[in-house]
Amino acid sequence: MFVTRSLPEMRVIIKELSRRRQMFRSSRSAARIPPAVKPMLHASIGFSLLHLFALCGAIASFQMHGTSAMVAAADPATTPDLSPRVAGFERYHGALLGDATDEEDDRQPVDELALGRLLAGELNCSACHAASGEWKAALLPKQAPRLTQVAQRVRPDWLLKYLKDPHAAKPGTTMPHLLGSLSETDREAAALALTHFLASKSPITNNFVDRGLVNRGVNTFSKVGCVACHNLPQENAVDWKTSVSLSHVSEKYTVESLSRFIKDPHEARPAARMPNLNLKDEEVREIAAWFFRDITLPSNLKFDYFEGTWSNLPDFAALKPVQQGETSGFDVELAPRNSNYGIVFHGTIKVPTSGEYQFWITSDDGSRLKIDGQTVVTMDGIHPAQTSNAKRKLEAGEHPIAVEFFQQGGGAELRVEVQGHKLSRRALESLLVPLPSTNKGATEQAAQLFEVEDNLAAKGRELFTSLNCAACHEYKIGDETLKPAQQAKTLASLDLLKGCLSENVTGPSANYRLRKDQQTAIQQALTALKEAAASPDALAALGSGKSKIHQTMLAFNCYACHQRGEYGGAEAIRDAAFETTMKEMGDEGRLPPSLNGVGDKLRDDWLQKLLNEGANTRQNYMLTRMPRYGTNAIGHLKDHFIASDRRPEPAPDSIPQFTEPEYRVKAAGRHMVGGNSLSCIKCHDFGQYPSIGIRAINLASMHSRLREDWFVRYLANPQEYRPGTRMPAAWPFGTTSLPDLLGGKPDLQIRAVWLYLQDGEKAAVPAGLVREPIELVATTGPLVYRNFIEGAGSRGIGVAFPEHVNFAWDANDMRLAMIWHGAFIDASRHWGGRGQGFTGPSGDDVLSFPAGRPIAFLKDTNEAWPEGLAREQGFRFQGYSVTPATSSGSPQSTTFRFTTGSLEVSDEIAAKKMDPNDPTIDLTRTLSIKPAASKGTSPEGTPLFRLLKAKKIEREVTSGTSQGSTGTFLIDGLWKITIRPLDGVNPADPLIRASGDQQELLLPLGDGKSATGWQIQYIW
Amino acid sequence: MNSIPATTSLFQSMKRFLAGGILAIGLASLGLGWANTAAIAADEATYYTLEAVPLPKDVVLEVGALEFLPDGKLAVSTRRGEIWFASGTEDQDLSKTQWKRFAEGLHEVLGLAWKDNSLYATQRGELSRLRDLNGDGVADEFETINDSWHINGDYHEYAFGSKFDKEGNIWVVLCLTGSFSSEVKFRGWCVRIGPDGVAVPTCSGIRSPGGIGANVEGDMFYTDNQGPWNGTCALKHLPPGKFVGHPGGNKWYENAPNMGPKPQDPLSGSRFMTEAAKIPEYEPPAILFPYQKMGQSASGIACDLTGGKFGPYQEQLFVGDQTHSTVMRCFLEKIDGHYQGACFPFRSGTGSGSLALQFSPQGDLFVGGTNRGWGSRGPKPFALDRIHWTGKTPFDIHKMEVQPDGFLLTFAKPVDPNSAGNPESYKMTSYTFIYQSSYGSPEVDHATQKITRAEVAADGLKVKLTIENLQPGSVHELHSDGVKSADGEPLLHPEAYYTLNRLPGQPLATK
Repeated sequence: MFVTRSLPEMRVIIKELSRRRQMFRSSRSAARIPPAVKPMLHASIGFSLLHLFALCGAIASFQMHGTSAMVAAADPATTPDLSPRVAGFERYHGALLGDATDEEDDRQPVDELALGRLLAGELNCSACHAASGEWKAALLPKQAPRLTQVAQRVRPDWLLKYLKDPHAAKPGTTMPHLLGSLSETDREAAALALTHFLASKSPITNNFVDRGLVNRGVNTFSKVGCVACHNLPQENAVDWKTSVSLSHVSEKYTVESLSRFIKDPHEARPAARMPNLNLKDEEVREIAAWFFRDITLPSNLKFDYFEGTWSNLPDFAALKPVQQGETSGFDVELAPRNSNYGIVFHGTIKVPTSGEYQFWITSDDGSRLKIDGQTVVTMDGIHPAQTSNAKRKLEAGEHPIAVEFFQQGGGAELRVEVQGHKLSRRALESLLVPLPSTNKGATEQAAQLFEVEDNLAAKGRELFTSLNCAACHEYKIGDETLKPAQQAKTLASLDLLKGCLSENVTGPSANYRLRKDQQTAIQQALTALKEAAASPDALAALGSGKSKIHQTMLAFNCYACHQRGEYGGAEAIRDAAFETTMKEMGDEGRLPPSLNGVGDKLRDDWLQKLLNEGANTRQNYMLTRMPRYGTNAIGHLKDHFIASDRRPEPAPDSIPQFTEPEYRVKAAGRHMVGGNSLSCIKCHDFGQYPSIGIRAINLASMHSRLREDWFVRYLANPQEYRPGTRMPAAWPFGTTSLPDLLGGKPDLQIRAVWLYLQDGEKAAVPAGLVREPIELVATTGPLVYRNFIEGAGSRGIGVAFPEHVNFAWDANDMRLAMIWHGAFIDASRHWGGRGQGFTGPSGDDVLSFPAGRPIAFLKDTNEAWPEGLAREQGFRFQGYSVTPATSSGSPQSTTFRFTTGSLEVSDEIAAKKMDPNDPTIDLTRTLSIKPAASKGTSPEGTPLFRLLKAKKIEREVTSGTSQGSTGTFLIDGLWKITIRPLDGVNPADPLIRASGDQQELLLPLGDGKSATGWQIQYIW
Repeated sequence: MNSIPATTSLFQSMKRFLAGGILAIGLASLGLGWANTAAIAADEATYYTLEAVPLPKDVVLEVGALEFLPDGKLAVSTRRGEIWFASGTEDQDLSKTQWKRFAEGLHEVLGLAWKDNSLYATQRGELSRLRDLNGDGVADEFETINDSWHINGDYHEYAFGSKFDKEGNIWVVLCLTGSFSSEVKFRGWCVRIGPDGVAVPTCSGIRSPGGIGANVEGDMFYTDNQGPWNGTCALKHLPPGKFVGHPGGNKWYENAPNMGPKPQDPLSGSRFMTEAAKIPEYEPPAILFPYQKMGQSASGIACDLTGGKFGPYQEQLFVGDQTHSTVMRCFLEKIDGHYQGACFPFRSGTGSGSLALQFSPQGDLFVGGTNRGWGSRGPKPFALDRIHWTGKTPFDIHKMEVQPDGFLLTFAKPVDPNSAGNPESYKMTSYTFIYQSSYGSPEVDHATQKITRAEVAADGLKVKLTIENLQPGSVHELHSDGVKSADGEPLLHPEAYYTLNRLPGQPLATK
């Protein structure tokens, strides 16, 4: 049914499509694709009848199924869609490409024929229907999973369920329902026989799942890029139409087999649609654990539960258990109370190989691990979670174990771990043998009970070939690969309205449960292929160049992450899943790069490496990684990218030549990259040195990734290559801000940067990266440093005296926070880069004083000191004054002033001594307190000044009395403090009192109505 | 995409590209902004010279704020917490400049104002009054006037302080924590501190300011930077009681009863004016600085009150850009009681990243710079530059006023009526930026305007452009490459960017 339409008519149709699509557009209205970039649609076929055909198909299917956006937004309550799900098709079928916000809507329909080819390739039509190499090149058929090792990967109960109805068991599967046209009895029998053929004689069952990994698994799954193709890892997550469903995973795999699969998906699935994310073992285990978070396992431990109060592990054998039972794992939460109990777990571990193993036991409170009746490791006593470990040689085989545990109060925790002989450190539960008598974990028990029957397996093997399973799935017995029994018509000679594409598919045709729009798309694409086959060039063009790139990016869902031309980039629904650790980089920091011009940008070897191995070069900011697809799968992209994108190399004589020797050119390059010139290192890391600002991609990696010609053009105009990039144009319009360097010639300057970067990590480090200390030294008078001071808060005021005594005042709490000797502070953290973080004292003998308000009004001396920041409790900082040393000999000092609301306090701190005969220089503090001029109501109670808090405060007895307001105190037996009232005031005696397990030294401040004060000397 | 043949020298083709007037509109689409360096700066230097002020030896003078004292000295505060007094900066020969340190140990001073023999310094944590009580020329009294906002130790929690307003207030704009969220009290707010030392919460919605300053009417403005809820950098008016864009700090409304109830949150992905029509408390940006075209990090603000000593642009606002090391020029007008207007390139080539701007009593513009932590085109790590009007008037667009059916341009010098009267001499496109919670925005909603008439007024200075398809809510980017002065010169800066929030007489469409 070819309908020809005039161009104006088509325009109306496109407008209408656009209008409807707008109605269903998600809230994201940002246009990520610059409107200037228009796709090369049907580059090889040209704008022909085929194009119109595709358009009509698009409209027809639009009316039937709506756009992918509509399907995604459909009410989940409607009947489940069992049709195969291919992300590229679901995303782009019926869509329009371009900037919808353009005043004039000149958007184009997608290349629907490519989408039809995509389906034909992903459904692997050419596995049964022989096709020529050219056809296959245009279709990119997806090889089905290898089944030779399926028994080690997939559970038998799942195999049975899946074979009975693949689409129901795994929504969106691209596997056809081959048993669909059999009677129910025959289908059951066939599925069972196939299961017995495929399943192993030693069935796989689930093992212990470390609960601690589950939460981390959610995080890892969300961050590393899984969400580009799969739904969010949440209970009841929205099932996006462009997602490969994972709802069946916990039924299909075990936690171990899933881990093996994620670690290397391509062993089982050589088609590599599921990429290898190059995950660490730990990440793999986390992700797998999340899928098995709800698994119920058979019991593997017996327990005896005791009640009692102990401070060390009791002799449980002498005690009578309150309760006994069976459980899975060392679960202390089975105790019905939170404190004063004990549990002994008994079980058997199966040691895989003989050798030395290390055991850890972590507990709160005490615990002990025994193996073969012998104590291996003990963590006794009352404590927060603490770990102890020991090694022990064990023979392969089963060993009885016991774990004793007691809990007194507070938190309760117990963890036992093992490592050794190919076992990475893991929970000991993973070695436990399930108890024979239990009703828990029925599924696992059933799987264990599955036994392969040889006659059924033989029947299954027959079916595997006769049903043509072998056409798609590789299955080897020894060196022999099973062959499909039936030979279908060739793809080129098919009647496209019959067989697998007919309205009602019957055996032996494969029932893919295609939707009508999918059927139509395949029919149109294959029709077009037949037409193209008439002209070999047209057919060849489909399997090469831009068309091949597009087909590959659709099939491998590269578009889920990467934009190229008008296709791809993160879908709006998944956009938020692409995260960054460097928010300031904006989208550049979180979204994988556009692939526009990638063949021009990257070196051949790097391109090959990326396609083959993946990469993680943006790991300092981008959480998503480029996964490994493998050369076999997508290696062909390299040549196509290069052929399609790369600009011709400039003629050698057009490249400017340096007149300076190379070492001088490199020095110029280094200078420009460094912090005293163009400051590339403000944003970019360099080798092992992190940048001082955001951590953009490593400069020392440029030479291994980029091409010189591209680099030179890019630096001259970054916006042309990365629209919207934050990378500034350092040579705008071919001008330079460095007229004195290399003759002020911008092209030479850029090439000098390139030449310098060729040395990679071996290049001399550019200036400004290595933070050199900036030690502040007081020379004549007090030196002040206000900043984020570790130990003195965000409003820290550090003061150094030339005598090398220092202190830090905390203007949030109005308190002396620290005193120390020697060097003052290194300002380089705050005075280099952006100045992130806190800096503590550089010197020695640092004494810290308690946080919180320094003055409180207590009703009696038993009242606890109030908590919280002083500035939150009505205290106001009023500033400070600095008194330099004067010729008259008056000492230098700083005086801080604050008000409590009713009292005004002046706190003068000086480097001087109270006793002129004392040779040591210490800090002397003069506290002057008077009622505030404009005071409100005085709080009730007695005003007290908290001088310090320490483990032990002892008053020195010198003249036979430990009384009086003047005296010396020994603090923690280490240092001294001397106090005396200011002249003319006569306050009450200082007070030492307990505060928790510490002591406080409090100075009375009279009645709060008259002036009072103290002088304090710190001798340390 | 404009591709450059690789077989010819890259920069040769760039020059050709520049020379070809027909491609001039393409420059903007490349997002290069106005040329910042040697070539154009040399042209600008004919009218405005830029001289580096010699700095004290061995001092890292990363300029945070500037203020002139009654005795003619220039006070310069630094990110390292020092304050220096320079004398001789108004002399023709800058080499005689003398420096003396007035204070040290302060916390990144980004605001200086002089009053009553005292220097008021806005530090990260407080507004302080500094005095020299013993007369030795060095501050000894550091009085805390107000420290009511919180800081939690995040480097991004900057505080920029204004000069005194007519009522004697100092306004302080407080950057968000990490420039993304408001972790402690009043991050993301503007407060104004009265002569009584009391801070009044004044506006919410601040993200990451780069400077603050008043216009000739005394209305306060600040610059905010590209990031969440800021599709591009902007000059924003601070009308007391209003919310100016980033909702991160709105949780502190409960601590600011004078501000009334917390406004409705804007819808992410919307447009500035769509939300302005919906949220009465929201004051949209007065002038958007299109990203890359005008700059990347808008900074200090100074109003030309020199009475003509600085050339023709009296009473206009001058705004720095830290990344591009430039000074931009802003024309503001009030439509329906709200400020909007145009920005123009003015002067490029400052020594470091432009941060603080200050006019001197003699009518020069001083620009202090730093590029620590954030790179700049100006290669020096820190600098102080003096921009001086040579007395020659550049041929530039002086004012760009919106009219119901177009724009009224006022040129700094008389135009050639033939070229200026030809609609073909002008090109206009419009676009805006997404108002969204994620970082920045591309230009969106592109449209092209048709200039149907260009009428030159009798004075030869004004040209009325009648324009079809004006897009309220969008930046209107005008290129007047074809316009010549009466003397036949091309415009020094042919580009102008008018933020058309409101058309006169056309109320906001509530959607």
